[in-house]
Amino acid sequence: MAQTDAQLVAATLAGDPKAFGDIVRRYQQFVFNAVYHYLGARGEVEDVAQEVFLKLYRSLDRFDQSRPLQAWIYRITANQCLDEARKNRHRKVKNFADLGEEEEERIRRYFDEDKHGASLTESEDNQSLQLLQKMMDGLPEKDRMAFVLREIEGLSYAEVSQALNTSVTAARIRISRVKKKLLAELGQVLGSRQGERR
Amino acid sequence: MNTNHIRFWELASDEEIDREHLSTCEECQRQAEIHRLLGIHLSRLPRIEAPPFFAARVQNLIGESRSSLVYYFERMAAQLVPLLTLLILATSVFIYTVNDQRTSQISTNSQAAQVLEESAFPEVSVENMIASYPDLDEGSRR
Repeated sequence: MAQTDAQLVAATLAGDPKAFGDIVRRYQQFVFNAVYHYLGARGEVEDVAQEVFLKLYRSLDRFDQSRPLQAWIYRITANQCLDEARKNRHRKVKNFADLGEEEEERIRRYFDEDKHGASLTESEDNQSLQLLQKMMDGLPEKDRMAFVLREIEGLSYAEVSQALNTSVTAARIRISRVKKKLLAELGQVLGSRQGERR
Repeated sequence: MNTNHIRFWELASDEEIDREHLSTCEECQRQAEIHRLLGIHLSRLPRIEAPPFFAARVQNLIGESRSSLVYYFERMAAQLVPLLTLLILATSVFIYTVNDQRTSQISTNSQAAQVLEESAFPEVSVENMIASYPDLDEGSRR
C-alpha cells in the first residue's frame, strides 16, 4: 500500500533515503510542469526542479507535519521560480506590440486552426508556450506565477494563496489581472485580423 | 435584461455566465469567443515528463551533500541559530543593565561632586551673596 505524505516525511527524517525518493517521484510532474510553464524554457527546468527538491529536503526538519506536504512543495516551487525570474530579468521577452508581421500572422493562423479543430504540430504547440510568455510579459512576476498555478496547473485558489503566501482574495485579483491582459492582447491581434477581412 | 457586460477576466473557469445577456450582446459574444480561445490555448500547452532517473539523481545529490563538510556546517549552523540568538539577547540585556547601573552611578557621583564643590566654595552660595551686599538686600525689601 502506498504510504501517505506524512509517513514518507517521517521516514525521511528518520534517515530512510528511499522515502525521500518516493516524495520526489510523487511530485516531480507537478514541479517540472509548473517550472516549465512559468519560465517557458525547457533547458532550465531540470536544474530548477532539482533545486526545488534539494530545498525541500533541507527544510523538512522545519516543516510543520500537521500541514499538507503538497502546500509546502507548491510554496518552494513558486519561490524558486520567482528567484529564477529575478536572476533572468535581463532576458526580456518581446511584447505583442513588438511582434513582426510574420509572427502575428502565425498567431492568427494558430487560433484559426484552433477554431476549426485542426491538430497542431509539436513545434506549433511549443510555440504556443512562447506565445503565452509574450502575452504575459510586463506583468508582475507574482501575478504570472498565480496564473500558471491556477489556470495551467489547476490548483485551487486556496492552494495558490498558500503557495504565494497571500490571501485568497489577493490571489484571485492577481489571476484576474493576468486574464484581463491576455484577453485584451488576444482580442487586439484577432480583432485586427477581422478588420483586415472586412 | 441585464445591460452590464460580462467581465470574463473575473470569471473562474467553473463559474456560470449570464447566458441571457450573452445571447443579445455582441460585445460580450466577441469577448466570450476570445475567452474560449484562451481556454483552448491554455489546455493545449505542451507538458513535459521528468527524466526517468530524476528521483535517483536527487537522492544521490542528497547523499553526496550529507557526506560533505558543508552539510555538517549547515546542520550545525541551523542548530546553533536559536542558541546564538538567545546568547545575543542575553548579552544585550547584560550590557544594557551594566550601562544603566554605570549611568546611575555617574549621576550619583556628579551629584556628590556638586555637593563637594558647593561646600568647597561656601562664599558662592546665594545667602552669602545677599549677606555680602546688604544694599542689595534692602533694595529688594523696598
